[in-house]
Formats: sequence, structure tokens, C-alpha cells
Amino acid sequence: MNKKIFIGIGIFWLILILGFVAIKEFTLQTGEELLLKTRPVDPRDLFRGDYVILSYDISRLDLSSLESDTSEFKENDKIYVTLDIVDGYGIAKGVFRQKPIDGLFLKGTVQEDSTAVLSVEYGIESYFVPEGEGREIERARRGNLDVKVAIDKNGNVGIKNLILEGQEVRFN
Amino acid sequence: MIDEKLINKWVQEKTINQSQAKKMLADVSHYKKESRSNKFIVAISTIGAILLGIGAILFVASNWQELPNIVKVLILIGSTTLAYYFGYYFKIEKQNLPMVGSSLLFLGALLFGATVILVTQIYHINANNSILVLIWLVGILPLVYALRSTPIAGLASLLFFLWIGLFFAKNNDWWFFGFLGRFSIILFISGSIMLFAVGGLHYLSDKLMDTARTYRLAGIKVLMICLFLLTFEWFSKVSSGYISDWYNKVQNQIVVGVVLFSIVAIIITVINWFFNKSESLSRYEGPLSIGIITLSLIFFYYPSTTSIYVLIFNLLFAALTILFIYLGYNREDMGLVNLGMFWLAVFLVAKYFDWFWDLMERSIFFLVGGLILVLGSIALEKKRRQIKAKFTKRNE
Repeated sequence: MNKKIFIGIGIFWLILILGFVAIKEFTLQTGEELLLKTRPVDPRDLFRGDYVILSYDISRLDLSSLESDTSEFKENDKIYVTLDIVDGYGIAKGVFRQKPIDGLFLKGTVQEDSTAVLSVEYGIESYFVPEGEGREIERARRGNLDVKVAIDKNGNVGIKNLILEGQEVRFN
Repeated sequence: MIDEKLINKWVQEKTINQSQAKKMLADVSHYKKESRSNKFIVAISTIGAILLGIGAILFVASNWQELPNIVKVLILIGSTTLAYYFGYYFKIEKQNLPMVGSSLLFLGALLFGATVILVTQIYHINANNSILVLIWLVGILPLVYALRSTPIAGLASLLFFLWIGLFFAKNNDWWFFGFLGRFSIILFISGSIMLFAVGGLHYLSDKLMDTARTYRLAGIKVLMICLFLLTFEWFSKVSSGYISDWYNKVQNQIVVGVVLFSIVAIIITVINWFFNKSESLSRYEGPLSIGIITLSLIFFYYPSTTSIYVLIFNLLFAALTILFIYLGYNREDMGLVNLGMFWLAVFLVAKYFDWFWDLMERSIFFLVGGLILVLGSIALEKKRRQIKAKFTKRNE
């Protein structure tokens, strides 16, 4: 391996890692901040090792009460969920296959075929915590646990923090 | 390897005289000491490098909240870069400590993966994300070819199968043992044959012989595990309730993956068959690879409630183990002989349990089983040593 190849591979690694970081940092720094309400998750699955599973009110969408450009969604469809902000919380307004031209929207993936209630994943269903610190969050799932996120103009979303009973969660 | 036994034999045959023998023995002894010392240095430096890497990762993890994201990322990138740079420096630039350099480069490949994973934790990307493993794999592949490194090729093979597993484990915790699990085995079979064929393609370049062998061995090992599982009824016989609507239940990703891997595997196998004249390829592997893929696809699209596939996969597996032993013997490849003998032993023990557990009284079952195991292992080991001795004799 000569020096050029060595440097080339190093740069390739940096591009992969920093590219990843840049995309997420862009979302977190430039995105609009809002809160999302979490919903109870199957208690057997909530806490796995050192991350917490999160599910949101917008994870299950009742198509009959939302605007849409189609009536049927298939598993793995990429969709855009438009949001209204009410009292600081993001509330689903519509579900679309086509990317909206303006307004606040989230990119998501349909989890199963549906014409009634849509199950959607947004890539923010995991929150990593220091080992052993998840119990408090697990206990809180019956209370008021919200997630502060940032959504950029392309619909990408990143978690900023957990809000438990109105306070930001910090670990020791 | 020249040793004392060989030197004494040469003296007896008057190929060399006593003073030449004495000089050679001294050189061999010195070389062995150097080699032991080198191995010790390599071991210590590798352990040191690994500890440094683990230290960096734990430092980031333990100061999770205090450190800003960008500092965590820089520490991780920094430790990866250091391992990578010093590996290059010792192995390629100065060439004074090539083994230490290789260890550090391998550590660099591991740290790259750890960095990717920790970065996703920093930004709370969904867990079980197979994309991370794919990024890790794509990142280290250039290193496999730039260094022609067997350990990194082995790591790449492992990541390939890990990626497959994670991609399809995403939606179901118990996916492997669930309904779709048995069909996901077919995905691993087509993936392993594809990797085996890709490995064969690498024989076209003399410089990539070790990489070729690594990929092929990885492919064979995963293939044997999958075929072994299919020798059991639980995996290869489907309940009637599932047949009627399994097309609706099986995930599209599995179908796409199976078909894609199978097509690529067949294309590369055909290329190897017609154009690859390397002596390392066996004339059996083309038809056999295509045969196994065809059988797997038939099983995938036409599962059965009868025991037909159980019988077929048992016969196939037994035939493969014997073929490996035969090919290994012919090519004097001890690795292949060991692989065949290992799986033959596992197969016989598993089938003994599978077939006779319900038929025999427990005490008789364990007595007979124990006797077969002890006598069988003695016989197998004797045979293996005979074969090894024959190879050694032929090489002399």
C-alpha cells in the first residue's frame, strides 16, 4: 500500500463518519424545535440494555382523520407527515407520498400495509442512555414523558433530549 | 519447516556433514527464539493497542453527558486515526515492526466500526440499524485490498453476514425462530454461496490468494451451518397452516435478497467455471453451488408439509461432508479435511439424538451414545492423523 492509497482510505473513512455527523448536526442546529408526546410501549420491550424504545402519538396515524394524497399505503413506503404545532407539541395533520412544498413535515417509513391506521417509523425510536440509567425513564412511561426534537426543512428529524414531567432528563 | 529431526535425517543420509548440521541446528534454534520473541512482542503490542482503543471508547462512554457531541466524535476519530497511522508507519513506511503494524491496522478497522456505532448512539439513531454494519463493511473493504490482509478480510466476511442478519431481524425480535426464520436461512445460503463465488473470483489475481481463501472459507462455514439446520424437521418441514398464505407473510426484503444473491452467485459461479483456470478451484464447485442454490430456491418457493426436504437436506449435508474430506485428501488440504470431519462428527451426534431419543430407553441411549462418541472420536482422530502424516510424508 503506498502513501496515496493510505491517505485516500483515511479520507474515505473521515467522509463516511463526518458526513454522518454533518447530516445529523445540520438537522439539530437548523431544524425547528418541538415536542412530541410519547405513548406507552409494550412493557416487556421498553428497556433493552442501554437504550430506551420510544413510541409517539404520531407513530400510529388514523388515516380517516388526516389529509392525504392516497388512500392506501404499503409496507416500506416512504411518506411525509405534515405537522401543526399546538402548545409546543407536534400534532399530525396529514400523510403524503409526495414531499410537501412548504410547512413543517417529518419523513417516515410505513411499517405495514394499511388503509385505516398507519404504523410509521421516523428513525427516532431509540434513545441511548448510560448503562443502568434507563429505569427512571421506564418508570416514567406512565407519566408525562415527551421528546424534544429538531426537524429540518427536508423532513429529517433528530432527538435533542427527553423531557420528563416538564424537566430535561440528565444523567449522572 | 526445517527442524532437528529433518537435519538428523540429512546427516544420516550424508546429505550434509556434522559441522553443517551443527550450524543449521544453531540457526534453527536462533530463529525459533527470535520467532518466540517476535510473537511475544506482537501479542503485547496488540494487547496494548486494544487497551488504548477500549480506553478511548470507555472514556467517551463514561463521560457521556459532560462531553459535547463534537468532542466525543473527535476523540473517537482521533483514536481510530492514531491506530491506523501507526499501523501504516510500522508496517509499510518503516517496515521495522510489520506484525505490530498489522495488529494496529486491524485495530484501526475495529475502531472505525466502533466509531460509527458510537456516533449513532450520540445522535440516537435507531438501534439494530443494519446500515451501520454496512457502512462499517464498506469502510474497511478498501483496506482488505490495499493491505491484502486476511484478518480484515475475515472481519469483512463476518460483517457481511451480520448485515444480512440485522437487516431482517429489524422488525421481529424472535425472527430467527419464528415462521420467517426458516426462510431467512435460505437468504444466508444464497449469501454464503455468493461470497464463496466472489472468493473464487479473487483467485484470478495471484496477490489476492489469501483473501480468496478467507472469503471461500467464510462462505463454506456459514453454508454448512445453514444446511445443518435444514437437516432438522423444524426448519425444513412446514405446517399446513403456513403454506396457504406464506407468500403474504414473507417479507419483501427476504424475497429480494434471496433472488439478488442467487443471481449474483450463479453469474459469478459461471464466470469462474468457464474463465477461471486457477488450480485452487475444484471442478465440482460450479455444479454443486448452482445445484444448492436451485434446491434452496425450490424449497423457498415450494415449501412442503411432507418430509421430502428433510430427507434431501440430510443426504446433501452428509454428501458434502464426505466430499470435503475427499477433496481435502486429494489436495492435501488439512483445513478442508478438518472441516469435513468436524461436520461429519457433529452430524452423526445430532442425528443420533434426533432419531434415537424417542426410540430408546434413556439409560441405553446414553450408554450407547457415549460409547459411539468415544470410539468414534478415537477412530476419527486416528484417521485424521494418518491423513496428516501422509501429507507430511509426500511433502518431504
